[in-house]
Amino acid sequence: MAKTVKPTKGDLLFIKVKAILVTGSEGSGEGNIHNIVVFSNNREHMVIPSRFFNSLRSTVERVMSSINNHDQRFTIDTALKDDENLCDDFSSMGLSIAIGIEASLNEWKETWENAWEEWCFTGEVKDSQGVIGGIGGARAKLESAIEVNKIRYIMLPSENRQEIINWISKKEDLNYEENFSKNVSVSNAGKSQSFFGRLWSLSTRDTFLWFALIIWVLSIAYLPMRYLFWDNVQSLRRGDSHITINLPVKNPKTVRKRLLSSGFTLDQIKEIPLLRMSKRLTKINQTGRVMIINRNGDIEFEITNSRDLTLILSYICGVYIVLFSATLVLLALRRESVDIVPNSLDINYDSVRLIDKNREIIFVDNIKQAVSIVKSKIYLTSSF
Amino acid sequence: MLNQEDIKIDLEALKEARKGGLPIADWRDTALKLFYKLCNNGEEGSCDLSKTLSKELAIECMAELDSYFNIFSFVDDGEKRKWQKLSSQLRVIYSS
Repeated sequence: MAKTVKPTKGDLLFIKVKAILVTGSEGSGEGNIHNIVVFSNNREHMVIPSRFFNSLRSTVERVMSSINNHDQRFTIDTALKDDENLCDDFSSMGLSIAIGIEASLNEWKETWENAWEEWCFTGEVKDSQGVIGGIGGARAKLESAIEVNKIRYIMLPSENRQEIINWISKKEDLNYEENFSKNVSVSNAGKSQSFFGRLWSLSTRDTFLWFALIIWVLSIAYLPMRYLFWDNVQSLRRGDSHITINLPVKNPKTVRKRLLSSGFTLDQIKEIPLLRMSKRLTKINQTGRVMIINRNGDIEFEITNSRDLTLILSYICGVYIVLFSATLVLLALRRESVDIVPNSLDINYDSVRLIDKNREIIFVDNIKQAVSIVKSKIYLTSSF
Repeated sequence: MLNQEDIKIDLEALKEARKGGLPIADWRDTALKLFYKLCNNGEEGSCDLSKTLSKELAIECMAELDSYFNIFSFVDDGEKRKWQKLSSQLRVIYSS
């Protein structure tokens, strides 16, 4: 069974979008689907083939203005060859370019990578507000898009809606239903990753975070070892029966119990004059630790100061655990707010569903609305 | 054998020459140097461009050479055929 190759971050810079163009003369032209590539290059706008640059420059600039981003630059491969018989107007490629640019700049590009083949677009970006205007040859474009098996969603300008409905209604072989001002009925539940899923994907995003996660796990393992089982660790190392008590001693009874459980006999504990010792140690306000060692029946004391490296390391680990956890939780909560699909009230749209063909023709007025619909649909599809 | 670092250097030189404008000869020289380096290696049986060029490098070569041929056109049909073949290879690399 073939493995699905997960796209890398570098691959995701190459956004693919299906655009529909009409080739041939006006009135007798045929629709063609072109898989255009939108690549964020950070330097200057470029178009392939470059002879279409002037035709598409204003489109790209309008898209960038509509999303209020004037810093990013793109290379757009229209997938048109020099020797193709083309019409002169490429402005209808605007909606496809807008979707490609939006996908390049947003979090949903990975989801788009798996969904792009089901979508095709045509529409002109008319101004810097992102208004989508009507296009010529809409029927020829729609006819070609319907015939492509993989395409499920065809997005067209609202201005062409009546023309398209008139055409469909005359086609006897097309069984359809119209939906007016339809909301995207999407429930947020189950569409985005769970909170713990987001935590995991954040903490394993790259090598650095993997390293940070491993240190976090080691820190969590170290803290209880340092505070609860330190005597056992020390005993392993030294071979003597001993316990370590933090100073000043606050509860002599607990110390007595710990001595008994560590192998000190009752006689030895009596010889220690524990209570007096404890009072003394409490009174002198000594800080740090005292190690009580049973060396072949002789009791020895070893006082160490509070600048013990293992103790300092435990403080560092504690701070690191808190900071790393807090950062991850905050990032996961922030990503949740980004992943949430926009409120369905904001994405009203008219559509026509071709029942037998399993295609949905969606009519849009502006880029923002188009992007919201795409996001909603691809998240809905990816959740199943 | 095609070397990715060499291609990067030639590509940067071509970009600089294009942006520099004059003298035009610089643009022509740097473009043809990159073009023939890619063509010759692409035709060799031992060299698969997709194994040598990254997606990013492929689309940048495509954009720069396409821009050059759009301005200067082709010397002859042979050059045109070579470009058509090379551009198809480059497109496959970055659109796969």
